Amino acid sequence: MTGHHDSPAGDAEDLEGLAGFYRLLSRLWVSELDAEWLEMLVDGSLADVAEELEFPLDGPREEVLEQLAIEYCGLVIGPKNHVPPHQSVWVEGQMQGQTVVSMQQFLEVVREEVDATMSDHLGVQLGVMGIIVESLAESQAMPETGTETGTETGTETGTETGTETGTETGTEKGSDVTELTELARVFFATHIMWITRFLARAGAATDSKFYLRLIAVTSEFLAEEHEVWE
Amino acid sequence: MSPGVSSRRRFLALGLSAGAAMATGLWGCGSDEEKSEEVAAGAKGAKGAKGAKGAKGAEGAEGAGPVLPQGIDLEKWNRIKGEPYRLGTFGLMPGACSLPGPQAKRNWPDRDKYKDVETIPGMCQLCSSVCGIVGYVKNGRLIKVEGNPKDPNSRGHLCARGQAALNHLYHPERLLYPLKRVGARGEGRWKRISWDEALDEIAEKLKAVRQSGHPEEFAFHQGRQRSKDALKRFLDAFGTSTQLSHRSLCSGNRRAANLSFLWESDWDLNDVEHSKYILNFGSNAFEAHQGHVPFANRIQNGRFRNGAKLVTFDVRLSNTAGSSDEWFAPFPGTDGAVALAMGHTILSENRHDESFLETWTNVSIEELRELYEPYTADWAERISGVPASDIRRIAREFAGAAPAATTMCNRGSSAHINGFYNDRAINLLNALVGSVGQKGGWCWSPWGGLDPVVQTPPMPPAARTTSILEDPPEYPLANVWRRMRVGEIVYLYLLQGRARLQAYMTYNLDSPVTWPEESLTQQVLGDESLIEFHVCINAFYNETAHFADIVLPWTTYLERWDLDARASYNLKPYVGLRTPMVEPLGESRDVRDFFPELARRIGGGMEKWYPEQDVRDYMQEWAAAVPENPQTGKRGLDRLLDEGVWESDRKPFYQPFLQPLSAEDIEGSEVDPEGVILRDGQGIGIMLDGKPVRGFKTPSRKFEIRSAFIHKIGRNEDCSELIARSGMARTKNRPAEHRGHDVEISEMPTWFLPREMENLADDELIMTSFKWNVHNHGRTMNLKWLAEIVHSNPAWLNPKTARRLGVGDGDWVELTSYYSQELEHRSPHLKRTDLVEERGRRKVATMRVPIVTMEGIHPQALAMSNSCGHTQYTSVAQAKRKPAETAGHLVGSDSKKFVDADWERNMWWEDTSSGDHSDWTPNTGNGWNQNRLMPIAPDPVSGQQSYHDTVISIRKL
Repeated sequence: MTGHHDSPAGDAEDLEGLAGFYRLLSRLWVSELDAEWLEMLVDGSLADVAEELEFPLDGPREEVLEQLAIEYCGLVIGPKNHVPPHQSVWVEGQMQGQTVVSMQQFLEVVREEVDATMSDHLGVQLGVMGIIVESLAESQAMPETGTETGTETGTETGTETGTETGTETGTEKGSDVTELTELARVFFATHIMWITRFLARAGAATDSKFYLRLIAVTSEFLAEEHEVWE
Repeated sequence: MSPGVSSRRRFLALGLSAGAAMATGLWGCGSDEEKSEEVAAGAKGAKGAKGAKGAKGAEGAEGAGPVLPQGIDLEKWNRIKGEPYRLGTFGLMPGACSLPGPQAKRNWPDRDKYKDVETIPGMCQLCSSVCGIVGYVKNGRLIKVEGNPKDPNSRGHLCARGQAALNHLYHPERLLYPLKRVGARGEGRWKRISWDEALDEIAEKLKAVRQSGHPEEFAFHQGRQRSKDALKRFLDAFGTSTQLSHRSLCSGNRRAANLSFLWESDWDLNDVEHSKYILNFGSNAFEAHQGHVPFANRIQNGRFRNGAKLVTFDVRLSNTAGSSDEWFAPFPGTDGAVALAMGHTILSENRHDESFLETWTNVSIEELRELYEPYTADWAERISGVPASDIRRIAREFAGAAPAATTMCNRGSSAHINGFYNDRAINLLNALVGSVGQKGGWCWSPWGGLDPVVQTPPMPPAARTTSILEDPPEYPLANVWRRMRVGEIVYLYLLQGRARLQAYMTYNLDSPVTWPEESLTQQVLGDESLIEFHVCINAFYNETAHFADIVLPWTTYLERWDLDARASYNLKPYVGLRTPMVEPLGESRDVRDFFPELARRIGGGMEKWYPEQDVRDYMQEWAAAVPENPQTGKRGLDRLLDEGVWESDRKPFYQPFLQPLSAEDIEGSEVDPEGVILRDGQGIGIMLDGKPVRGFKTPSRKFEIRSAFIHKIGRNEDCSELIARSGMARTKNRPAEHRGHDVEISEMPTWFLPREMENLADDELIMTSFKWNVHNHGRTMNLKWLAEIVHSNPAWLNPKTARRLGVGDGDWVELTSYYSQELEHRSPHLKRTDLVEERGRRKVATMRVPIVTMEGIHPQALAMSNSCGHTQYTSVAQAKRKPAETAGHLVGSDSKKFVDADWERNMWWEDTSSGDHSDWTPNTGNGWNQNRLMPIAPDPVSGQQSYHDTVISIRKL
C-alpha cells in the first residue's frame, strides 16, 4: 500500500469544490453578465451561491443587466480609466507581453485554446487554475491501493463514445498528484498572484456594488489560496 | 476552528454547488451556446467526457504522453517547466515563464530573442512618410520593428516614431471592442456591444440618410488615412461626396502654389541629394515633414557627399535650422518677401537662366524685371529683419550653384494667411535660375503615390452630391485642381447653421486637439442637434471618440492590409505593402474588413461593389500587376510579401518637359499659333525648335509664372479653354454654387503682410507652432517612449523680449489670442462677431502657460509645440500616473512592494501641482493644447489654415 497522496489544498472533494469556485470567479470576471447568467444567479441554479456571497442583484432584470454592462465596461474595458484585466500590462506595461507566451504554454498543458488577446485575461487565468485543480481532484479521487485495472466507458453528449481500459498504479497516481500539485503551485505563483494587485486597484476604481462585492470575494479567496499554494 | 479555515470551508462548499451548475472547460474561449449545451448535459455529460477521455484522450493515447482527465498534458508540463531560476537569497522562481522586469536583468542578454522569428514587411503609419518597415514576429507577437532596407524611398531608416510601434500596437489602453454611448454625449460612459449590434445600428442610421434624399448629410471625416481605395469605395457607393479631410491644416497652400506653376503635380520633390545649394524656407524636414525620413536622409547625403550648402530661414531654431550651414530668423510670414528680394538680386545682376525663362516660362524677362522691381533687398530687410547684404549674398550663391540648386518649403512658409503667395515667391526662384526639373534642382513627379501599374478592382462611380462643408464656395483654389477641402471651417459652418449633418463618421481624427479653436470644436461635436449621429473609428479613445455615439475599435497599421507609397524622392513610383503582422488585438477590425458588411446591411445597391471576397484576395487582385522578380520567380502579392516593396524601372522624372513626342503621340493633332499641340481640343505637347515635346501640363504648356487660371477662377470666370489646353481633365471650373463668391487672386507672384502684424503693441507677439522629431501632430503623445522624451510644451520666448516684458525663464504668463483683422477684411463671410472685441481686435481665447527663454526664436514671435495638451487619449497622453500600488507583490520579485509595471515604475513627469503654478515643476505634466488659442483662419485663396500668424498678447502672472 502506498502513502497518502493528498495535495496541500485538501482531499478530492475539497479540490472539486475549489475548482468549482475558480470556475465561478472565472466566468464572473471574463465578461459581462448576460441574461442567462443573471437568471442563474438571481433565480436559478446559482441563486443560493449568489445569496451566500451577498452579490447585490436586486431590481428589474433588464435594468440590472444594462447597469452591470456599463459598470463592467467602465471597470475593465474602458475606454479610459479602466483597470486593465491583462497580466501583461501589469507585468510588462504593454498588451501581449512575454506573459502571453507563458500563458500559451499553460493553455497547451491544459489543452485549451483562447483568442490571443484573452490569453492573459484574469478571467481566463482563473479558469485555467480551475481546470488544473479539477484535474488534481480527479487524480486524488483515484483509489491509491495497489494496482488498479479497470474499464471505463463513457459518452460525450452528442459527439463521441469511447472505451478506455487503463491501468493505474498507486505510484503513478502519487506522481500525478505531485506533478499536478506542482503545476498548480507554479501556475498560481506565475499567473494568479498578480490578480491581487488588480483587485486592489479595481476596488478603488469602481462604485459598482456588484463588482465591489466580487472584488472583495475574489480578494478574500485568493488570500486563502495564497496560504495554500505558497 | 480559526476564522481562516471557516472562510475557506465556505468557499469550498460554495464551489461544489457552483461547479455542479456550470459547464466545464474554459470561459472566454468558446461561445456561450457551447457552454449552455454543456450545462444542459449536466454532470453526466461531463463525467462521460472524462471517462471516455473524449477526443483529448484519444490524442493522448497516440503517444503524446499521459493525458489526464480534463486533458492535462503532463508530459508537456514536464518539458516546459525546466529549471527554476535561483534569485539570490529570494529563493526559486518557476522556470516556466521568463518574466521581464527584475528577471529580465538576470536573463540578459537574451541570445534567443530573435531565434525562430518570422520577418514580415509593412509600412509605418505613425506619420505620413509611410516608411517601409520589417516586423519581427515570434510566437504570434511582434517583438521588434526596423526600417525595410528595400524601401526605395526611406532606404531602411526609421525614426523614433516608427520605433515606438510596439507602444502603439500593444498599448494597454487600446480600444478593443465596439462601444456604445450611455448617457449624454461627452459624458464618457459606455457599454460594450457586439460588432453585429454596432453595424446594425449604423446601417439603420445611414439607410435613413439615403432615404431622406440627402446623402450628402452623411459626412466622413478622416485624419491620417492610407486606405484611400477602401474609403472611396464605401463613400462613393453610398453616394456622398461629403468626404472631409485635414489637408487644409497641413499643406493646402504648398500644393496650390505648386499646382499654379505645374498643374500636373501638387508636390515638389526637391532633388537635394544631388544639389549643391538647398534654400530652406520654414521647413523642418529633419523633424517633421510629409517625406521626413526619406527627405532628411537625402538632404544630408547632398550635404556630406555632394558638398551642398543648406541655408534655413525659420522663425525658430528647429533641429533643421540648427543643423544648417546658416540660419536666419525672419519676421513670421515674410519668407515670400525675402524670396522676392532674392529674385530681385538674381535678375538685377543678370544671374538668371535666360534660356529657361525665355523658352519655358510664360512671361518675358522684361515682365519679370517689372514684377521684381519694388522687391529690393533693402525693402525685404525692413519687413523681415534679415540683413539686405545677406539676402543678396545668398541669392548670388544660390544662382551660382544652379542648376543643382533648389528651394524647399513647407508649413513654415505656407501655413499663413499670405502663405499661397509666400510659396509662389519661393518656388519662382527655381525658375529664375533654371533648376526646374534639373538633377539637383526643384523637381516633381506625376506619381503622388502608388505606381499606376497596380489597379484596384472596379470602383463605383464618384458620388455627385454637393455640400458646403466639402466645397465651401468662398475658397477658389481649395478644390479646383485637387480636392483639398477646407477642414477647419466644418464645425464653424455647422454652428452657423450653414449645413446639417444627419450622420458623421470620423476616422483616425482628433479634431478637438488638432483643429483650431478647441472649444468651438468640442461645442459642435457635443451638440446632437448639429451632428445627429456620430460614429468614431479609431484605435484609441481620443478627444473625438469622447464625443461619439458609437466607437469602433480600429486595427493599427501593424494589423491590416494596404498597398501604399508616397511621392518618392527617387522621382519614380513604387508599390509598398502593409501587411497584418499579427492577429488584430481584441475585436479590432479594419475598414477593409467591416465596410463590406456595413455596405451589405445598408443595401440599396451598395452591396454590388462588395463581392464576397477575403481581404487578402482583394489585395491579390490589386497587386496582380507587380512584375515577377527573376531571381525568386515571385510576382504580385507574393513578391510584395517577400520583399515588402517593388520599385518600377522607369527613369527618374528629370526635365519631363523635354520628353519628345512620337509620331503616334501627335497623330491627329494640330499646332496653334503659340506652338501648343492640341488634339480634339486637348493640349498634349508643345513645339520646341520645330520638334514636338511634352512640355508642362499647363494651358501654355510652360512653367506658368503668370497664371491667368488662378486669376479667372478666383472671379468665377469660365476656364474651360485653359483647362482643355492643359490636358488636365481633373481640373475643373468652380461649380455654380460658387457664384457670387469672387476672390481677387494676383496672377503674378506677389506678397502682402497681414494687417494685424502691422503696429503690434508692446505686449503683442506673433504665435507660431511647431512639431518635435518624436511626435506627429496629435497621434503620438500616447506612446510612452516618445512621451517620455517630449511631453510638455512651454512657450518659447526670446530672452530680450522676456526682459522687456519683465518675465524670466520658467515664469507663467497669460496668453490671449486674437482673430485675424486681415480675414475680417478679406473673409467677412466667416462672421466672427461671436468673438468679443478687445483692444481693437477680436479675442479668441486665453490660456496660461510657462515660458522658456530661447535665443533661437525671433524676438517678436512666440512658439509652442502643437502636440500636447490632451484631455483624453490614454493616461500616457494625459501624463497620469496611476496611484502607487501598495497591496500584494509579485512572486519572485526583489521587493514585497516592487511594482513591476513599466509605466508606473518609470513615469516621472506627472504634474503634482494641482494647478498651483507656484508649485509646478518644469517639464512635468502633459502640456497645453495650443489649438485652444489658435483661431480658425483659412487663407482666403486656398483655405489653408494659418498656424503661424496669430497675434497674441502676453501678460506675466
